[in-house]
Amino acid sequence: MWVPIGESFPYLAATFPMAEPIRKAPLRAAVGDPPARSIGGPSGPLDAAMDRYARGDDAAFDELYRTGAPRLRGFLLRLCGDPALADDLTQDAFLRVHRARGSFESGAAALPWFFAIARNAFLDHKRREATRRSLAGDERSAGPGSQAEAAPDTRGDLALAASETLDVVRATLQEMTVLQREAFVLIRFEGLSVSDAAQVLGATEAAVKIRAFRAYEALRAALQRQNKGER
Amino acid sequence: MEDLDLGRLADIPDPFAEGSEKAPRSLAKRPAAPSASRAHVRGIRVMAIAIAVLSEAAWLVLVEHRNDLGALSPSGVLLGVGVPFAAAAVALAAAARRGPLGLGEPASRLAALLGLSVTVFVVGSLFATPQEYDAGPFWPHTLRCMAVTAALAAAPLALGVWSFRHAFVTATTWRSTGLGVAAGALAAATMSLACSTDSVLHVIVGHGAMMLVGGAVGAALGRATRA
Repeated sequence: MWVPIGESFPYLAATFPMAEPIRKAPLRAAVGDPPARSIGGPSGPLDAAMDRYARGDDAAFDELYRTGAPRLRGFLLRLCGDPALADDLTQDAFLRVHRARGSFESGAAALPWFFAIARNAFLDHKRREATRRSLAGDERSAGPGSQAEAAPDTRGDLALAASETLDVVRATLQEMTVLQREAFVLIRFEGLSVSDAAQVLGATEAAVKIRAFRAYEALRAALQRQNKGER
Repeated sequence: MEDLDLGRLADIPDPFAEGSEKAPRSLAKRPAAPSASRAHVRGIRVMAIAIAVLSEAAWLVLVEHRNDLGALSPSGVLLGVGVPFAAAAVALAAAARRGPLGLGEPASRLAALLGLSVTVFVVGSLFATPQEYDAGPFWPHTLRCMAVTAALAAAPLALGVWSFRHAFVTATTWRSTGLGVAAGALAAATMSLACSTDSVLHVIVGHGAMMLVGGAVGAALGRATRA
């Protein structure tokens, strides 16, 4: 049974007004923060820069990096939970963009293509890490949020509780499967529609929807546990 | 599981909202090697297809072709070549399709299209090939044809992987599988002009099995095609 967030997590609702649920609202309006972030159409500056770059205009790379890298870094940070690694993966992703530019379809939106390439960079990193750990005989998993981005400066109980909530979300995101995490991140934090997220992940809409919802359930359960522990 | 109302996802706050989209540091290393532009990539792919078809034709001219080619009806020849060609076209289209966002088709649809490609070959061969029993020993001749088909598929597959290197951003393994199935089907089309055995079982197993083997090899080479 779903309990409105103001009842389950009062400090959360007070601290994060944007976290108020929007029942039965269209997905784009409901999950975007800011609402309904566009993945970009052919007229967006990122799309225009990418189109120029795909046509062979090398000078467009700087504009592409300037406009696209912050969004890509945000996506990678939410996937990996480590700011330094997100920086490295952003660079790796842009080198891949450079290598693959000739395959960027005319009239396509650049951001989903960037997200898909960034995801490949992240998955390759995960595989390399798994191989390295298995070769080193180190079975320990990478601690979630071990190098997480510093939480905002906090003051007072409410802010402290909110900060702890963010820690729980951060840690739970890292504990869930990559499939669930990437679906959740794309829909909840990057504001993509289920259809667009499915395209980026190369999966069906039904599969992506289920993965995102399972991630949501895991996060909500973790927040409820934290809430009970505080009472 | 409760009903999948994804509007509830907004319950979860973003732990990385602070500074998540700050500008990352400047690129540590600028792209040094020039990469191919869109026009260049298209040119490479057209050239790869042309070389693949020419290499198949060269095999027929220089190495072997069926002795009864002149005695066959034009419609029979067209059907024999057309069925595997259609299967190759379906597989290649599946691999190269842009999809709604320019990211290609999702894995499930790719799997269905590749299944369709194999079905086109098998069902088409059932209709296009005389339903006669091959009186000779089945396996020695079939194994030889499988080996020849493998040799014929090698160049188109290598050209396909080369021309699509770093091109696929999603469902990479399935899309490179499509390249392998297409290469196997193209080799089967060539074999219809090189092998004079018209037994339907021989055609499906001896000439068509390479679609599956090519698909498996293509899947194994998927890393090379991933962006």
